[in-house]
Amino acid sequence: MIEITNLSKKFDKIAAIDNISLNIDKGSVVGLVGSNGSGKSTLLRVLSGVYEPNGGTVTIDGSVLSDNPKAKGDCYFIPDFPFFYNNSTIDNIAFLYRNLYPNWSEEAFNRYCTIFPIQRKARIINMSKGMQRQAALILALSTCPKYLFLDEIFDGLDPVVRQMLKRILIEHVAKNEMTVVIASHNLRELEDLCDRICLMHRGKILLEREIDDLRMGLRKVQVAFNEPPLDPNPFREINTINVWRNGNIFNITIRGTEEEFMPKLNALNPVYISAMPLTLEEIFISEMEAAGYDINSIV
Amino acid sequence: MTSTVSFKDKLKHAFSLFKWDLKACTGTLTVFSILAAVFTTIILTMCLVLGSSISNAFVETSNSTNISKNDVFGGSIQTFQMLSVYVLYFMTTIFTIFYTIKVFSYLHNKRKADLYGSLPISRTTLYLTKAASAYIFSIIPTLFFMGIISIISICCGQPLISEVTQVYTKIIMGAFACISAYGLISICCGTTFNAVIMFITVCIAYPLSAMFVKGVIGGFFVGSYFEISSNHFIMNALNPLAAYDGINVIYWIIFSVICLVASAFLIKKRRAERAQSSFAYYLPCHIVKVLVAFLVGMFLGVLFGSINTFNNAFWGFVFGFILGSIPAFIIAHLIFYKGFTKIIKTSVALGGLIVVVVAGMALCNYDVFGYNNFVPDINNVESAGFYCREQTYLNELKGFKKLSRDMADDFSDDTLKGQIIDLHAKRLDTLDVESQQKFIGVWTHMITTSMDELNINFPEEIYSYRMKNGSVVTRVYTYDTFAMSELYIYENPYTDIVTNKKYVEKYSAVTSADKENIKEFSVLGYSKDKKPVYNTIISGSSDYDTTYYDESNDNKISKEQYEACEKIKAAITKDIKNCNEEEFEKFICYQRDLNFYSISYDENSELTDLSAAQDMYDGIVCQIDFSAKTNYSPSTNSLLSSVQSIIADSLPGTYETYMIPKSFTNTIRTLQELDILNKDMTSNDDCEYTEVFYRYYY
Repeated sequence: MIEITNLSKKFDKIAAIDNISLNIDKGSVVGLVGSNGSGKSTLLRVLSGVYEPNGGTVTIDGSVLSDNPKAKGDCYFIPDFPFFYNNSTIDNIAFLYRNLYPNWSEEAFNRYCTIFPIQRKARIINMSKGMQRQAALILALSTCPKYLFLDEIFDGLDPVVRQMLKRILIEHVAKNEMTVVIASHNLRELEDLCDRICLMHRGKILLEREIDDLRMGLRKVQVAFNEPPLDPNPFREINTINVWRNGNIFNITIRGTEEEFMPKLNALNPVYISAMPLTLEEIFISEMEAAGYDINSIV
Repeated sequence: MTSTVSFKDKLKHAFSLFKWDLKACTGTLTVFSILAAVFTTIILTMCLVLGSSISNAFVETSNSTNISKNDVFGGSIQTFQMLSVYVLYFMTTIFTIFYTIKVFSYLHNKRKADLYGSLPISRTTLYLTKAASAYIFSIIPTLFFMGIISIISICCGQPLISEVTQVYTKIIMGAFACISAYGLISICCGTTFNAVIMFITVCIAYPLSAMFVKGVIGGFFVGSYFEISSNHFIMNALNPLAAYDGINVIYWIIFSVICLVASAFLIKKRRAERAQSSFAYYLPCHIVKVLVAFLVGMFLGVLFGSINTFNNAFWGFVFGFILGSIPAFIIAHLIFYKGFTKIIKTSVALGGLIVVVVAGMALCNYDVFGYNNFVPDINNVESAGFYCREQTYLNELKGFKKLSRDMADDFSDDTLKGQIIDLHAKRLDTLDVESQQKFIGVWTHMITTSMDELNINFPEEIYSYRMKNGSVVTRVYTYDTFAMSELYIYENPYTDIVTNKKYVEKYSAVTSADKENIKEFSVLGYSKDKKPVYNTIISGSSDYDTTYYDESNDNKISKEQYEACEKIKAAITKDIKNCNEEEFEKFICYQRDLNFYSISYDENSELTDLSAAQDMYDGIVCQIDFSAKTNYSPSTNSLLSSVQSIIADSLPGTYETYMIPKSFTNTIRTLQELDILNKDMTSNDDCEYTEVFYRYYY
C-alpha cells in the first residue's frame, strides 16, 4: 500500500505538489489525470524515489522510499521520456537489472521479449518512440514490480500494443496484486484500465474516487421545456457543475445520483429529461471547469 | 520505517553497475588501447632503429646511472621506456577526463536522473561506484600497458628507469585526485558544461591567483621569504591536476578522501531536479566567481600599478582591479547561470572581494607594519646568522629554507651579532622602493619564484635572528633588492663577518664541503730552489661525474685523492679551531681582501698572492686554493634535472684561497705526510700531485 501524507514538492518557489494526501491500495490501478503542469509526473517521480519531497511523507508498504534501495526494488518507474544510452540494447539493460532488482524474472523477460515485437539486440536509441516504450515495458514487467509507475505510457503505442499492454497489466494485477499508477492524458485508455482516478490540478488533488463512483456521481442531463423558465437560474436547487443552454434546451452536468436530482428537475415541468453517465473525458473537463480551468473562456 | 540492504547486496549492486558502465565505456577504452598499442610500437621501433643517436640524447638528460654510453641497445630500450611511459602518462590524463565526464554525466541530465534515481541502489553506492569505475577505467588500462613496457624492458635486460616507477605514482595519484575533485564539482553543478568549466577554472585560476599573492608578498615585503613563495602545496592546493606531479602524495590522498566523503554526504542531499539547472549547490560557484574576479582584477590592477596610472601606482591598481574584477565576475556569472538571475544578490561577494583586496593592498603598499625597514634591536636579539652567496658555502642549495631558520642560532656573541645587525641596517639604508617598483616587483616575483625548483632565484643575502622571545625573524634579499652591483659589498662590516673565525669555521668550503663537492684542491708553494710549485690534488678540469667513465680513464678522481683532501681539510679545521687571532689573520689574509694580488709588488712572480702574503706576514708556508661546488638535489624529473644541472654549471663555484702559517702544525704535518711539503716546509716539486707543466717547465 502506498501512503502519501501531506506531500509537497517545490521547484524553487513553484509548488508542483501542494500538500496532498492519498492512499493507494495494493492491487489497484490508479489513473492520474490533470491539466498540464498539475504535478502528475512530479508525483510519480516522488513515488519512485527520483525526487525527494519538500514536505510530507511517502511510504510504500510502511517503508519510506527515499534513498531506500530495498523498497525501490519493488518499484519500477517508466518516465514519459525513458533514457537509454547510445549502445543500450534490451539484453544490455537486462544485464544490469538482473542483479539490481530482486524480483527479476528471466522467464518473464523471455516471455515479454516474445510477446512484444522487438529485437533484443538492437540499439534501443535507434528505435521509434513506440518501440522504445515497448522496450521499457519489457524491462519493467520483467522486474516483476509490486508497484509500477507509468508516465504517459500509451503515448506512441499502436492500438494493438495498447490493448496488449492493458491485458498484461490486468493479468499482473490480478495474479501478483501489482499496484499500477498511470499518469496520462489519454483518458479513454485509463477508463478501460483504472479502477480509481485521481484528478490533479495545480499541485492539488481535485478528486480521487473509484472510477465507477465517479461515473455514477456525475450525470449529463438534457432538459427541454415548452416555455423557458422565468427564473434566470432555475437549477439552483440542484448541484450543477455546468449549464449550457440552447433555446429551450438545457444541457446540465449534475453531481449526484438520479434519485437526488430527478425530483427537483421534474418539479420544473420539463417536457423532456434524459440522464446519461459521463465519459472520463467529460468528467475531466467538467471538474476542470469547476476548478476554474474553463476551456470555453480560453477558446 | 527504512529497510536496509546488506553489504553483500550493496557490493553486488555496485559490481553490476560497474560492469554496465564498463560496457558503456567500451568504445573509449578500445580507442585508448589502440592508441597506446600503436604509440608504444612506434616508439619501440624508432628507438631500436635510430639506436645510438636517440639513446645518446637520452643519456645526456636522464638521471639513470645504469647505462653506459657504449651500450646503444640498453640506451635505446631505456629511451623507449621513458618516451612510451610519458606518452601513456599524457594519454591517461586526457582519457581520464573523458571517462570522468562521461561517468558523472548522470547527475546532469533529467532523463538519466529518472533512470538512476529510480534504480534500487542507494545514492551513495551509486556515486562511489561511478567514481570507482572512472578510476579503474583510467588506471587499469594504463597500468596494463606500462606493465607491457616494463616486461619488454626487463626481457631486453634493462632495469626500469626511475621515470617509469615514478609515473606509476603520478598516474595513480593524479587520477584519484582529479576524479574525486571532478566528482564533487559535478555534484555541485547542474550541467556537465558548468562542471567542466568550473573544474578547468579552478585548475587554472587557483595557481595563477596564488602566483599573484606570492608576487605581492615578494614585491611588497622586501626581504620576505614566506613558505607560500615556493610551496608547491599552497600553490597547488586546489588544483587537482597538480596531483599528476606525484609530489605531496599524502596531501593529495587527504584531499581526494575529503572530496569523496563530501561527495558521499552531498549526493544524499542533492535534489535530482537540479539536473540541467545551473547548480545544485552554489558555494563552489561563488568561490570560482570570486577567484576569477580576483585573478583578472589582480592582472589589470598590477598592470596599471606597474605603469603608474594616474601618476599614482596604488590608485592605478585600484582602478585596474575594479576594471578587471567586475566584468570578469559578470561574465563568470553569465556563463554559470546562463543569464543575470541572482546577479545582484551574489554581487555581495564581489563587493567584499574589492574591499578586502583594496584594503589589503593599501596596507602592503604603505608598509603599515614597517616590515620593509625592520632591523631588530641588538638588545632583543639572542643570536643571529648571516648568509651571503659569495662567501657562505652550502653543500646543498635545496636546504636553504631550513638553513635560513637554523642560521638564527649561529652566532650569539655580541660583536658578530652587532656586525650582522649593522650590515643589515646599512643595506636597508640604500633601500628606497617606490610604489611602482613594488608593482613591477610583483611580476618579477611571480615569474622568478615560479622557478624556485631550478634555484635560479637563490638569495644573495640572508639575515636571520633568534629573538629573545624565541621567535625567528628572517630577511632574505636577492640580487635585485638593493641593486647590489652599485654597492661595494666587500666593505665592513661585511668583510669582518665573513672573515670572522667562527664564521669561517662554520661556513667556509674548506671546513664544511663534502668530499663529493670538491672541485679543486691545490697547494701552492715554493720549492727548495725557490721555484713555484703547484701540487694539485684535485684539478678543476677533472670530471666529477664518473658515470660514463671506466676505471682506466685518467680524469677519474681516485679514492686516494679524496682521502688526501679530507685529511688536509680535517687538519685545517683543527688548526683554525686552535689558532689565535693573530695566526688566523695570516690564514685569512687573502679572503679578507679579494683584490689581494693587486698589492703584490712582485709582478714577475708566478705566485703573486703567496709572495704578497709572505711579504706581509712572517711564517707563511704555502697557499691553499680550494673550490667546491654546491650540490643540486637532482629533480625526480629527468628533463628538470638536466635544466638544473645546466643552471648549476653556469653559476660560479665557491673559490677560497688561504695562506697556511707555520703555526698550522696539523695542516703542515698532513701535507708532509702526503709528500706535498718537504720536511723543511718547502714544496715538493716531484710528488704525485705536482702539475706536469711545472715539473717540466722548471
